[in-house]
Amino acid sequence: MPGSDFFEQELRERIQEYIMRPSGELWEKIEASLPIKDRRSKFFKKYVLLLPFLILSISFSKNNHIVGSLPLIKIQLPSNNKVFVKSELDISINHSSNQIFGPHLFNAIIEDASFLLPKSNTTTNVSSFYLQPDISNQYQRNQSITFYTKKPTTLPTPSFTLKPISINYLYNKNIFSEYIQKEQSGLEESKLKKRKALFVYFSPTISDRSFSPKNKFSYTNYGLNNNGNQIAHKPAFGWEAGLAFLKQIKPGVQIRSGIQFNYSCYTISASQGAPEFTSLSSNGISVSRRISNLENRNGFKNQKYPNSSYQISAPIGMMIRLNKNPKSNLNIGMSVQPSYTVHASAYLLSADYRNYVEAPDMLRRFNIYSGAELVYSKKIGQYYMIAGPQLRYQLLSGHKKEYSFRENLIDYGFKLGFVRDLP
Amino acid sequence: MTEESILNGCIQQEPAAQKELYERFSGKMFAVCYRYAGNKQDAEDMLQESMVRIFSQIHQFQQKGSFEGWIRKVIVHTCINQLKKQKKFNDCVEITQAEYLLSKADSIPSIVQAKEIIECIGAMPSGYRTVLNLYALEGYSHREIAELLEIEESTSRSQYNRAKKLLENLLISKNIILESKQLSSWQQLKTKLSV
Repeated sequence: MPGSDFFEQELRERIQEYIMRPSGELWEKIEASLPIKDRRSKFFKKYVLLLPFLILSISFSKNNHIVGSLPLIKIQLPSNNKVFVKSELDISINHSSNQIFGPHLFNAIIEDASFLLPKSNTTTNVSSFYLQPDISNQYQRNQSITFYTKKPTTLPTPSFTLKPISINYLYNKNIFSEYIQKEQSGLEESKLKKRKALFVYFSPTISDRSFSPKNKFSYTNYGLNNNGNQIAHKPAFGWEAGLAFLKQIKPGVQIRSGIQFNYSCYTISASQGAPEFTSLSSNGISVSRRISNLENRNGFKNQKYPNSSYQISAPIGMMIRLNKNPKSNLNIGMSVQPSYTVHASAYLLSADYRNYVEAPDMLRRFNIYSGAELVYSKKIGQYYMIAGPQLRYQLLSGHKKEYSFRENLIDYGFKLGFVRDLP
Repeated sequence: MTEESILNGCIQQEPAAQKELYERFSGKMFAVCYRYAGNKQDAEDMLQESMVRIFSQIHQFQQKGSFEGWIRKVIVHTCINQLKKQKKFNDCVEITQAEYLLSKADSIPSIVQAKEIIECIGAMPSGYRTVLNLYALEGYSHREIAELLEIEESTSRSQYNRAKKLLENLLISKNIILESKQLSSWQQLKTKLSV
C-alpha cells in the first residue's frame, strides 16, 4: 500500500478519525442546494387530495397559464447551440420536451464535468464546460439534460447524462445567475415563499410636528399677525429602533410585524415670566386651567424646552419589492403603528398663545402612527443590508381633546438595518 | 437509523435520511475538507458542494465497499476539483524553489494531537497539502495522484517529499515533535516500552 511507512501510518492513525464540526448553518445551505423534486413531491403527497382538481383544471385550460403556476425559471442564454469543452469538443444539446407544460422545459446543469465524465483518456484534460444553448425559454427545475457528442469521438454516445440539479444550486453557485430571471413563482419567489425573516433596524430621525388650532381662532385676538409665525418650535434629533418578523405572502410582498421603540423630540422656545393663570383649552374646561410661568413672546431668559416622548409600538405592515433583482432591490414599506407613550415631557401652548404649560398629563398615551419607507436592500452573505429614507406620521392628535391645538408628530429618518432569513 | 436505511432513504431523496447522513458523516468529512482547504470557510464550501454531489449521485454507490469510503472518495474528488477550479493547486504545484530535503524523520510521536497536525497541514502550501493528503492519508499511489492532478508522477513524488519535510519542520518549529536525534532515541524508548 502506498504511503505505508511509519510516518504515514502515524499520520493516518492520528488524523483519519479526527472530527471537526462545521457551522450550524451549513446544513441549511446544503438543503437549499438540493434538488427541489423531493420537496415538491412531498408537497404533492401532502396535498394529494387536491391533485384531481389540479388535473381537472389542467384539462379544462387550453394554452393558458398552467406553466405559470409551476416553479419555472426563465433563462435567457446566448444564441449558440454549442457546448464547448475547452474548445476541444463540440457537444450539442438534446433536451427533453414536455408536451403538457411546454416545449422547452429542462434543467440545465454544468458543474465540474470532469468529475462526472466517465474515466477516459480523451477526457482527462476536460475540467470545465461552458454551456451556450441557443434557446431563450423557460426551464423546469427538475428535468434532466442529456449531452451527446456532435462529432464522432471516442466518447460513447450519449457520452454522459447529468442528473438534475436545482436552479437554486446554479443560482447559489453563481452559474448562469446573470441569465436567471424570475418568472411567476420562480427561484427567488419559491425560496421566499417559505421564507420568514428577521428584520433589525435603527433609524436616526429628525422630529417635527404639524400644528393647527382646533377651533379656527382668530390670531388677531391675541395680537398675532398670522398662523404660527410667532411660535418658535424647532425640529430636533431622535431615533427609532425595531425588530420585525417578515413573512412572504406572495411574490415580492412581505407582511411584517414586530416591536419598535421611538424617541421623538422637538423644542419650543419660551421665556421666564411671572406666574399667571392660563388655559390650555379655548372653551374654558376646568381641567385645562393651569398656572404658567413660561411666556411665549414676552418674559426674560429665553431658552429651549424639549417636547419629547419615548414610545413603544407594534408596527404591522407590508413591504413590496419594486424591482426583480433578487440580490439588490428597492422596496417600499408601509405600516400602521399602534403606539404607547411610555415617558414624555410636554410643554403645551395656552389657548391664547401667551404661555407654555408643562402638562404631560395632557398627552394622548395611546396613539396610532403610519409609517412609510423606501429602502434599498442588498444581499451580502446571508444578510440583506437595508438602507433608505422613512417617514412616520402621528395619525391622531398628540394630545387630549381638551387641548386647543392639533399637533401631529412627524419623524423623518434614514433607516439602516439588516434582514436575516429564519429557518 | 441503520446505514442501509440512510442509504435507501437518500436514494428516495427523503429529507430525514439526508439530514441523518449529514449528521453522521459531516464531522469527519469536514475535517477531510479542512485538510485540503486549509481554512474553515473554503472547507465549508467544499463540504457543501460534496454533500450536494453525494445526494445527487448516491444511487451510483454499488454497496461493494464501505459507504464511508465512497463518501470520502466523493469528498476528496470534490476538494480536488475545487482546488483546480480556484487554480490554487496549479499555482502551488509549480513551486520549485522550495528547499528539497529528503525527510529522514521516521515517525511522529504519538503524543502529538490530531488538531495540531491538521493545523500544520493547513499552514502548508496548497500543492504540498494536496499531495500529502492524497498520498499519506488517502492512500493514493503517486501514479494515481499524477492522473488525478494531471501532473507527472515524479512531480508527485518530489512534491510529497518536500511536503513531508515541510510538515516535519513545522511540527518541530511548534515543538510538537522532537528533532531527528531526539526523535530516534524517543523512538527506541517507545519500541522498548512496547516490547
